[in-house]
Amino acid sequence: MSRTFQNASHCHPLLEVRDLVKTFGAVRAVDGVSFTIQQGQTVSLIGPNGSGKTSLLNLISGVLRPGSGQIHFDGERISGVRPERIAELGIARTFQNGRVFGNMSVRDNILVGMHTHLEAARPFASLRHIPALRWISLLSETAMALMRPPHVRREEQKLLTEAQQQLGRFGERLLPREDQLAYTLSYANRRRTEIARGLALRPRLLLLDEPTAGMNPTETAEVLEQLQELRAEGQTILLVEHKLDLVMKVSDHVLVMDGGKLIAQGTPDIVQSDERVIEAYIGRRRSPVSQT
Amino acid sequence: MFDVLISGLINGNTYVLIAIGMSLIFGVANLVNFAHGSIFAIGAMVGWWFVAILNWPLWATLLGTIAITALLGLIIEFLCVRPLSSAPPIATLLSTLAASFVLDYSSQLIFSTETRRFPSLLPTGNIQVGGIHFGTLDVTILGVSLVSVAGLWAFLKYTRVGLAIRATAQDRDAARQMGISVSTIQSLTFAIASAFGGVAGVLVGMYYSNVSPTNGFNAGLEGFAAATLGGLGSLPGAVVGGLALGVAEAFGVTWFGDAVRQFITFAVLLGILWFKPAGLLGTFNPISQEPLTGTFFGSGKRLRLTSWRIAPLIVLATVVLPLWGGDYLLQIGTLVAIFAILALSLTLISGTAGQISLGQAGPFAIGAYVSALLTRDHGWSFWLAFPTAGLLAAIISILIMSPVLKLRGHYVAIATLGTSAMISAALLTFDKITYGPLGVNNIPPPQLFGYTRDSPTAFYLLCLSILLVVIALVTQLQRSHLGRAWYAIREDEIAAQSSGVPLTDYKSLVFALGGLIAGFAGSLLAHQYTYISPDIFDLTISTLALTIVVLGGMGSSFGVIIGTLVLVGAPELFRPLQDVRYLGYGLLLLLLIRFRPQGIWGKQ
Repeated sequence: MSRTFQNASHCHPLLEVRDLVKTFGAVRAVDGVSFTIQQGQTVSLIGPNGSGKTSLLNLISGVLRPGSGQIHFDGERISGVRPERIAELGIARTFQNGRVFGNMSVRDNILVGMHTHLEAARPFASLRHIPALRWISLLSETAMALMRPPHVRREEQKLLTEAQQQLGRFGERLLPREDQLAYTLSYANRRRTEIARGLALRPRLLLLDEPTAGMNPTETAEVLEQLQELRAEGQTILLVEHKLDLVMKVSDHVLVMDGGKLIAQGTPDIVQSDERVIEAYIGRRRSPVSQT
Repeated sequence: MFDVLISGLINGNTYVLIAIGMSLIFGVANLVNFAHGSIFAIGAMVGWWFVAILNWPLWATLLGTIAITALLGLIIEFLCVRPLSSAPPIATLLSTLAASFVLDYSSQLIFSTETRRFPSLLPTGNIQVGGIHFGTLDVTILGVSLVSVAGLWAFLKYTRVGLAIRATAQDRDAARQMGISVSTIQSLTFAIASAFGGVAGVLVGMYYSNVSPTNGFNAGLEGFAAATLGGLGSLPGAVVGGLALGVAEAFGVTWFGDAVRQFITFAVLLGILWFKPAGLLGTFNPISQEPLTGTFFGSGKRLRLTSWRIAPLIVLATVVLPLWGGDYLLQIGTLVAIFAILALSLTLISGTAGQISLGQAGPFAIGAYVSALLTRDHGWSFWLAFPTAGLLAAIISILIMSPVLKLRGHYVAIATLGTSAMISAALLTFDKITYGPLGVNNIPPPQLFGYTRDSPTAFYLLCLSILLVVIALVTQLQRSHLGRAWYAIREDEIAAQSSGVPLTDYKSLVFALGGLIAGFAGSLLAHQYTYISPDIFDLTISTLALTIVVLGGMGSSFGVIIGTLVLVGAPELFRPLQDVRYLGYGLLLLLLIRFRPQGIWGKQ
């Protein structure tokens, strides 16, 4: 029945997940999941704790290798590909528990996020993925790093300006702190830094794993605003989130997981009224007997 | 043939006893206990003392050795492991390494380094079954280890404490929630594991009928290779791995002679890390590993160096010392410069990219040998041999290391150790090229600036200028996009990868550059010493380099100079302290990790 809710878009999907399975020992963390994300959509992934949401994100970003099934990104197969290659193709992510580079400044965190945009500093890009020949690329990178010719310095300047823009997205939250080491930031600012690092990659698909976890209502509202801005800019997003009101406000499409399986999907309204979703997410309704 | 198999199995038995202790500790405390080999060696020496000096019978010797080594295990756990439980894994790895230095060199001070005869308590070769000769001794060794292993298995399987140990190994936090005192369990594990190590020491002493306090570290590595072969953390794996390694060594020694024993051990260790890091019977989960260095080394802010602070130092080093220093001070200055260059290779590998190398002695040795052999035997000029030495050191170490770089954490550190041990074993084994244990002498001094021959001043200035160039290179790299990517890898490999930083490529690159720099340092050392042999490039050199970097503050080039002056310069000035020098390194490393991990140069 889930098929019936699918957007009737005919253009070729940005992300296509087909029959994806990941097992840890006897646990089927992701159990035959299929869905698609269209260009420009904001798709939310909800479900109870342990239902396999983060595993699914880890599979898409390449941190985990799938047991079986396929993932295609813009027509290219990315299942089983290394995370750095997937990032190069244009998928950025944040992590559930937050993984900023603690002993690097906020600015450097963002600059790492721009690593895939380096061109002058990383010559012979086409050799980068060929065994043995990759050393030509690596050694010329080293030479560029040591000699810093003008075009490399210009590129560095350009990235710095871009980093400022990414930080500016968060108003006065991060800009005044760009020289501070990330571990000295507040929890919410570390999460913002991580989102900014993800956006710095200029991703075609942004994977956000509970970006508002541990945030108070004001901070959550701020994130909601930023998500809506991103959506207006046409950014494609896959969002894992527990705060349902936020999910309902930003999503074009909602996926619901339970026990590793996709149990429902559709527009926020439809999913919200689906009995099985309510049961899985909030719990079983009390039986009439116990209600008396 | 069958004889070889039997002797391999009996030898393998002792590896089983060492490997079981290592696996037990790895399982419960999730750390590689480098001090375990030292416990084994101390077990052997204490056993010798009981038997040869006090004339105790075998059973009392075993009980006494168990008591002493178990106590040592408790002390190591209490002093080196427990205080660091919340520090990143690298802290405990380095602190047990430091503990092994302290134990080894204390034991050498107490028992002296000479090899002692272990009285044969039991007859050998008195039994004959089906044409094979063996003795009561062999049967006893087999019996003692079988009984110990079976006893441990029953203890873990059927007692409540055993259940608690297994639960702790599965999940420390969950075990703690269930009311298990994890720290008590950890102490107990160290005591049991160390007792096994001690028993192995006595048995090996009896088997080879001689003991020496110096062979602990190699025994530890052999036990470790066995444990890795079977699967770290798996007790059946330790048994299988120990026996397999024993048999492989026995056949290797029969076919190729005793020189290949070490070579086989490290080939097995590296081979298993290359092809099946989980071991024969282990499980391996590459995702749950934490970043190895984390915030440990970075917690201090680095002092900003202003040019007026550096200028007087440069004047002192370039003008004052060469003009008024005298030959002796110049030689010390040369050594300081060489070891600073070596340590700078670790500033890149460990301080910047966060990979712990316990094997910088490897490329250092290759650099020295290449330069020495090319200039002496093939008439190359120093100016050609020097870059060749660096390049070959980089290429060889990267060839050995690259299959391992996809692994994380402990496994990379162990692979570096295995790599340098293998290089050292190769230098001994391939004596047609390297002259084996004899070493290479009469290494010609470099022809400097056309006319200067053999002048300490000129060579000092050469080393100093190379040092300055290397500092400039390292600093420039740290400031570049590569430095930023390496820092990101140091902080969090998975997050770095997910940002598009090519992990294995950049790890390979940093090991290659580190190998190059270490190779340069090795070449300079060969021409300074004019004589080199494989035993110069042992683990103490690797540890010294690491201690310099930790002391100076990881990642800081200037800290390296301070660290080298303290650790290389000062001991050279105080020759009488030579005997306790390595003991001092160990103690210093231990104290630094415990109390000042950011190094003397970092500001809290």
